Amino acid sequence: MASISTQKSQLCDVPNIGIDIGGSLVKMVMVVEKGSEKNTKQASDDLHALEKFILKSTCTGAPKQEGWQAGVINDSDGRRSIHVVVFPTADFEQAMQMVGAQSTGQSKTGICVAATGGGAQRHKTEMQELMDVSVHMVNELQAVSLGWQLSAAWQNAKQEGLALVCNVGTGVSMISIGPDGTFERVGGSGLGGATFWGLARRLTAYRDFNAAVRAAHASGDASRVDTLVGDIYGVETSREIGMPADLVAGFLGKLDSQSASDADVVAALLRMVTNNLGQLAVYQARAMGVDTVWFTGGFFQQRPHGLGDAGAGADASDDEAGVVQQAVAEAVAFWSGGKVEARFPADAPLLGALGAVAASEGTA
Amino acid sequence: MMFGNINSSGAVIDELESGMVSDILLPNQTGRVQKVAVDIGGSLAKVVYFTMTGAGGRLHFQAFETDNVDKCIAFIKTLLDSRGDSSSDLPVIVATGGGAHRFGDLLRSQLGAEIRVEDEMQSLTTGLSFLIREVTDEVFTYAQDQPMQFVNAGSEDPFPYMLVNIGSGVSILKVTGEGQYERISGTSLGGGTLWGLLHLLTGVQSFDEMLEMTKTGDNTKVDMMVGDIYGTNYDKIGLKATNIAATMAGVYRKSLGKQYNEADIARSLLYMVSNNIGQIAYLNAQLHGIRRIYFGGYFIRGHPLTMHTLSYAIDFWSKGQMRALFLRHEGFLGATGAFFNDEPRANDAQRSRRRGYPRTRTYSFTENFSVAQSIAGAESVGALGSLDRQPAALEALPQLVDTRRHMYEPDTVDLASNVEQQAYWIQAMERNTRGLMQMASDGTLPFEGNLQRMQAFGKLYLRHLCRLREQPLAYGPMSVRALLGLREQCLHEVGLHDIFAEVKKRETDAALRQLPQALATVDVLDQAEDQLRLLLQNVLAGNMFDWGASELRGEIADGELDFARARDRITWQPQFDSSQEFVHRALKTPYNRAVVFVDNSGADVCLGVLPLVRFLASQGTSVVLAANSRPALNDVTEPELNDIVERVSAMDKCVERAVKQGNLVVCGTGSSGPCLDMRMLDERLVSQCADADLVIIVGMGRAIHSNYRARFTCDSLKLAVFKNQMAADAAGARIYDALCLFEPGISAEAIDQS
Repeated sequence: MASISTQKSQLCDVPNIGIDIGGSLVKMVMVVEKGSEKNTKQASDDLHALEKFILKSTCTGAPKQEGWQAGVINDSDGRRSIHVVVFPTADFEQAMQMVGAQSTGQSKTGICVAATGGGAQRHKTEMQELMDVSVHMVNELQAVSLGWQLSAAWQNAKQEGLALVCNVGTGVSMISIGPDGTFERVGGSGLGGATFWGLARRLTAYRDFNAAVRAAHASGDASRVDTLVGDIYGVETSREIGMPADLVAGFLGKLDSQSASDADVVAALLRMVTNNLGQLAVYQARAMGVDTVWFTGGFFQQRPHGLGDAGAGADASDDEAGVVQQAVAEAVAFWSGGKVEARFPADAPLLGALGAVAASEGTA
Repeated sequence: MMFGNINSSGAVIDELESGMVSDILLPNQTGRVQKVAVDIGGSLAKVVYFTMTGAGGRLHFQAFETDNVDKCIAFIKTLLDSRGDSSSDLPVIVATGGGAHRFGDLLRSQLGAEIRVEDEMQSLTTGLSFLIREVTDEVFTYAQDQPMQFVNAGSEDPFPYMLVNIGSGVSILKVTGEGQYERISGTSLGGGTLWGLLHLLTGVQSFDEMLEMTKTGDNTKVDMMVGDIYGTNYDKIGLKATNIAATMAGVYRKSLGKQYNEADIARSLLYMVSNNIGQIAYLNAQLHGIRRIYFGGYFIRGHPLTMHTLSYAIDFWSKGQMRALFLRHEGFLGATGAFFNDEPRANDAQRSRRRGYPRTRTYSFTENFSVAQSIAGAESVGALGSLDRQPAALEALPQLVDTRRHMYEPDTVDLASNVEQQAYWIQAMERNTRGLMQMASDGTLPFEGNLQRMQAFGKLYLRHLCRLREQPLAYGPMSVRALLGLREQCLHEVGLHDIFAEVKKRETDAALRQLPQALATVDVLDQAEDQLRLLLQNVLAGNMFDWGASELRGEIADGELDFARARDRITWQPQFDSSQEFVHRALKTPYNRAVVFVDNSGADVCLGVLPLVRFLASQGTSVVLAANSRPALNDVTEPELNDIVERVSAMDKCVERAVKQGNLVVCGTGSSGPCLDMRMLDERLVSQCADADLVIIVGMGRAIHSNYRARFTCDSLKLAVFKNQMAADAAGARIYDALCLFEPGISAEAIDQS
């Protein structure tokens, strides 16, 4: 089982900082053991620029840029606190320069951070140069797997047998995790969160993910865009042949209908993508013989719960996460006849970054 | 009409409309319409109907856009009206598909006929089972680097299989036997989704245009590729940089700086839908332990890119363990099934009777491409012909070796993969056709029927050849057999049923006048061994009289080739000559029963084959003479051969006795081509052959172009002359080398173990 011990922090090679550079957001975590906190504050002069940056960003009342979010989460057993900074991937360059500016030139150099996510490889050199750190690369799926195990462990959930984690960010990866921490990508799809958003941007005027999802939930009606059984057979015949008239026969089949609003289109796109996700996940679960699918990734929840909100656009993130999660949960229930359950781990957006720290621990 | 008779029959129809040859009505289409099935889907209405002609009939396929359902109904009305007042029985209209309900009232009121609605899923599976059972080369696999590989199911049990039917939505059915199916899954993310998205994103109206767009599009311009994220392969989890990470995700990442057009979007979305369906299909197959996955429905329409993507998905997810299977009649599964749903099925007793060949047939069809329809646009793969129902059921020769390890392949050369031979044979057929037309017009070939039909035939066949040159696999596997068969189909289609009738009659009369002399020449020999050897040489000499052989046709037409000269022309090479072994074996213990597949009329059958048969009969061997059921070139037909045997009986005591004792019978093969597929023989012939211990195959078409590698469980003798340079070259022979190949019988088990 993965574990994190961070007592050594800046004094050795083992990272206690994990950075997950996703397609949309960068998730940065710093794990601090209780008891060592005071020391870090006292020895703040000794701190590395990146550590200072994180501490500064996460202290109460710190000024935040638009789209940024930061805060401190205490884990359930109270042994450690996790400092979290989340910001748009587009701001990463800027963030790295801010770190560079923190550097006094007196701090100890050469701390190591664990990096994962699609952008890690691309930004590796920049991170090393701008932030003065050494970067330990962690396989993204390994990070998610370990992160998921950590999260489960913190919630005292005991893993028996294989677990299926369906990570939906830009695309989809289905990961089978063994109790011993071994993991395998058993499936996946290019039809993921970014497909939904790419299509939504082409087809509607929405330019903000959360606003689109909110509108879809509030006023969107997918049946104005999807071809329903009733559209083909008529309502009466549908009843005669025993098929619900409101069952979807073809997703988006009425997309060119003039009466469909942008909210309707987003609702239909969301129904299509989540339904398909649910279907793939249920088949994968059956093939593995498990009755739970853990859904993780930015598609369900862009931002961690309970952090200090920063700027506009993040204020209602829980609601949007709820809408998407609910849609997938319904699809899973539909395709499994209620026999498979969709679950969404707490701290889902942070699993990659936390897992990266845990992975580095294991390798040191 | 989206299908339309876009190719071949246009030749005929154009002229019909211009009034040039108003007497040419496609004769096979004037048969009485028995029954019409219509499958009205969300996008297309497919019509399948059957016309009776004598003992046989023809199954036709036609499609209309559902938006123009009026056209479809008008078409059905024309079909019904063509029945005239004479028919007292009410026409039967069977309807299936979503529109069967929606347009039920319209159909009833417009057609004045009773509409019987058939269950959609039931129809799909009945249709598929029918097509894979009855149509040779119906099933194929597809990949970009290996387009259209036809799957020979051999004697394998076709069940269980999975059908993924992709229309507006997708249904996944598990089929465990005739009429036994279960809908195990499906998705609403299907063709309708793609059409809706593409229409809105590109403004294009028709699906054909959309498919056209996908060809030039580049999905990497709108998709986020693995390489866009990782900059490289993600080897640890087996993803290549060129794999799609997320469909359409590239369009809003400014950092990727992707420039794209509508075609790129079209291709991306086609990939998305096909990939996703392929994945869902694989997952279902895996869960249900099924390895055969058929993809059907109008979404595919022979579109190469769609089939490639589905194949790729199945191959990728199953790690090469499963293959995506496609059907040439894919769009017509529902209509075909609706048509046959209430037809009697072969029962289990029949099935067990034909053990080892579970493709039971209640009746049998052969595919006729003379009025082929393209499956979709110009770039699509394949065309489909109408299905001609044979008057009798067709079955495999019981002695034919056709097992999983040694699968019977009728054709000797695959012209699709052999480019040089392909070009040669298409050119040879063109030359041959022009020659035929020339001979018809200058009177060298006296034939019944008018010249205009001959010209219509020429135009029709040459147009098919033109198409085959561009798309070698358009009509299934390409072989000499297919090209020759197509020529006969085209002749029949324009109403020229037997252009060689007069030639055959004249040559047969001439040959029969020479027969007593020929028999005397053999009888005068003392030794049976010498007699048999001479008889074999005579069969080969007779086989030189072949109007199908361009190299000899001039001499034959001018009467310059006589029997003795023909025999002298033939050369013998040890590797093609095992006559000694045959003579030795035949004289040691006479065969019990021989089945002889004959070739040409005239000298071939009269002076070559019949004297050999007479000898075998005198040895106590009973003989079944198998002749074409219907005319092809100057090949002798079953009725003609019956007449010949009767006339020879009057001339020769030995033959007379054999006929009287039932030891010499004539049987039709069920075929009407110059080559032969041993899996498709008239059941009456097959029942006569049950205890045959010798198979003799005569002629280049049946023993060289086809069946050259066929093996039998009983002894076999292949007798032919390499009368064509290319065929000779391919076999490593010289032109006019004799083929006298004796092969002892081999047990199927022995072959499988070898």
